[in-house]
Amino acid sequence: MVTLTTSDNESFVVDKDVAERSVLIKNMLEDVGENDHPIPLPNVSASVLKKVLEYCEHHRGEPIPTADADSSDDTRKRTTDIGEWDQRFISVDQEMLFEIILAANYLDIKSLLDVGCKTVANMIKGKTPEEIRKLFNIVNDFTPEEEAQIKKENEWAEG
Amino acid sequence: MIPYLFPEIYECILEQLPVQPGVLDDESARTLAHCAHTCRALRSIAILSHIWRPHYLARWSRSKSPGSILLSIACNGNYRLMYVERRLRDQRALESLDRIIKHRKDIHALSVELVEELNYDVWDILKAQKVDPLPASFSSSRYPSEDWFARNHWAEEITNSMTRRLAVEKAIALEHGEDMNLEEGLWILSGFWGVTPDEISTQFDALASSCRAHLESQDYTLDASERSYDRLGISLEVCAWMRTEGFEPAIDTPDTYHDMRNHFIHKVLSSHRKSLPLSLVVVFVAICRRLGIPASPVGLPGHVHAFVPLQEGLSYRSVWASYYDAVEQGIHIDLELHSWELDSSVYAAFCIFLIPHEVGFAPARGFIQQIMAIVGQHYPMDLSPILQRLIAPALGGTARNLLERHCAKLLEDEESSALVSDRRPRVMIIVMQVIPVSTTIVIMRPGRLPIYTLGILRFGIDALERGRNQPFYTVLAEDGSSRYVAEDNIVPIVRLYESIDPEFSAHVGRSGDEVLRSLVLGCPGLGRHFLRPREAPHGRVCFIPHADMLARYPEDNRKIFRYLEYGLV
Repeated sequence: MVTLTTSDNESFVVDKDVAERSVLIKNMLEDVGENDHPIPLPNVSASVLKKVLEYCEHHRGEPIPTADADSSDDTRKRTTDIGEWDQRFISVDQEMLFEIILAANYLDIKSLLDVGCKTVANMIKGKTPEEIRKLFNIVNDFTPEEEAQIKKENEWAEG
Repeated sequence: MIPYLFPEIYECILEQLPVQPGVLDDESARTLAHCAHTCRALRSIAILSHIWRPHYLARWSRSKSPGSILLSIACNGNYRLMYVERRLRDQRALESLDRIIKHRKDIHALSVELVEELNYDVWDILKAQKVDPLPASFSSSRYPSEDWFARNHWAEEITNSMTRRLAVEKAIALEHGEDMNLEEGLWILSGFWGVTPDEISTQFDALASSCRAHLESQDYTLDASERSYDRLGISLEVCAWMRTEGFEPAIDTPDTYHDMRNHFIHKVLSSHRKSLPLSLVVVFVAICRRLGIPASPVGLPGHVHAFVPLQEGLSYRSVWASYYDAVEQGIHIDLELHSWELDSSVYAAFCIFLIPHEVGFAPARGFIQQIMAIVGQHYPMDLSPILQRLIAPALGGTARNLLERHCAKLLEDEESSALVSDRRPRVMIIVMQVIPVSTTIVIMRPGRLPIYTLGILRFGIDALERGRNQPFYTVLAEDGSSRYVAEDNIVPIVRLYESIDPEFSAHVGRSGDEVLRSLVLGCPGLGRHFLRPREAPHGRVCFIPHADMLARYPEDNRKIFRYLEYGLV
């Protein structure tokens, strides 16, 4: 069993093979060897970690894709749809969705990161630039000249 | 509060945009363009080449054509720039296609743009214009678009023209001594029918793989390193298998032997498996090579047979006959062909005969006249990009001058006839010929009986009620051929439905929809003149002409309306 401590100081005790879905935790455990010290996760809050562990629990025992295998075929991962369980799992509000993505990125859980990013990709698909800005909480910082240039360049994509 | 994401997460998100194959859905690419329009940080990721790559490769099937390799160099291999550029080319192609459909003006400048300049880059978008299968109904509002039938026709004409252009390029390369295997060489002829090289090689691949399965079921090994490998046995078994698949010599009658379609490999592979020795040898060699047997055709020209070396190191190179020999021996034309099949055959043959430099001026003149007649009638898109700009420069002095003069003349005629609408078909009501009771016919344009149609007079024009003193029409029959008929000799379909004459009963049984369907399939060339077929109640059917024709001849519009609504002719 492994103990994980969150940014808001909650502790979670989980099976080693569940925790090791995270490549970050797996590497830490390998580096520090067998001991009972809790592993601190200062970038993840308890509510998010609870969700992430639910995902790891469900997918325990499945092979973890390596970075190499993934880059060899960049269209494969795009064509595979999100599984039914994952879809239900990821049906959360946008704030939680982004938190899960950030946690998956930090903990290095590639499959969860993909599920999250695919969900966001589906959200932005077909949206206008303004709608995308709102979704990502970003501000238009182009100069009027740049803006005009981009508009011209994007003419094909309108209508 | 929504947390901010990092650049690498944006990248991951954009990489996950679904990749849609084909040219019809580009929502993901448009989303990328929209992301590049949001803010600097997201833009810097949304313009990354590798994110655009799969969308580029999925949209265009011909992403490895010579044109796209040039494009890749011009864009420095940046897939976003390539995507945008080809997207603009697609758009240009559609705009040019629209102009051809709507106005029929500048058709030759547009054909050069489409066939020569844009070429394979816009192949997919043009192919995607095809409505397939045919609409379930031709009635009122349930058709794919206002001009779907004309769109089908022109888009297909343009891609066929591209294929013919490639065929001519290959023929010229062959004349200049380029090495080419027999399969490729024979494709050139099929290319004139709009058949692509891929279609041929795919069919050969399929044949070879079923032949392989057959050989394996007969316990032949195809691994030459195995002791039981028996090349002679395999070769004989391939011949036997070909016979079971219907590949046999065409010796039944002189007609089957001289059927021109025996020279076209796509026909040999489909409807004409009973074929010439030459064609059968090509099929045999193509299958053998795919099974790892280095077979080759020998004895060209003359008695062609296949050669299979039984020892390594023994080989014959195929020897190409001069095309000219075929002319010397005379060519045999089977007049039972569909008229457009005959024209495709003659067009292909005469272009191929024309290209070799040793062809004399007298035969060249004959070929050119025939080619001009066929192109003028069926393939307006070929005139500039193929005849004028590809074949003419490849010919010797006098033949070149002659072809250039003919092209210039035809161009001028076409342009002026596009302006003078009287020379274009107007009325389009579908009728039935009475004597002999025959297929449905579309009236193409009114015309008086010209003095030279004595052939028709023999068919009993004088026996008709009004004899020669009546209007005659140029009509198009279901099989694509055109002829003159007298007004007394035709009956609009709507009246047939009301007729009790038993002679018509077989035809009366067909619904207007069925009549239209067979016309649409039998005469795809009608798309050159009409926007789409239309069916109204009570079996009233017609073809809708172009809007500018209707504007010029408002009385036609009224006629169509009266016919469709009230059955009045």
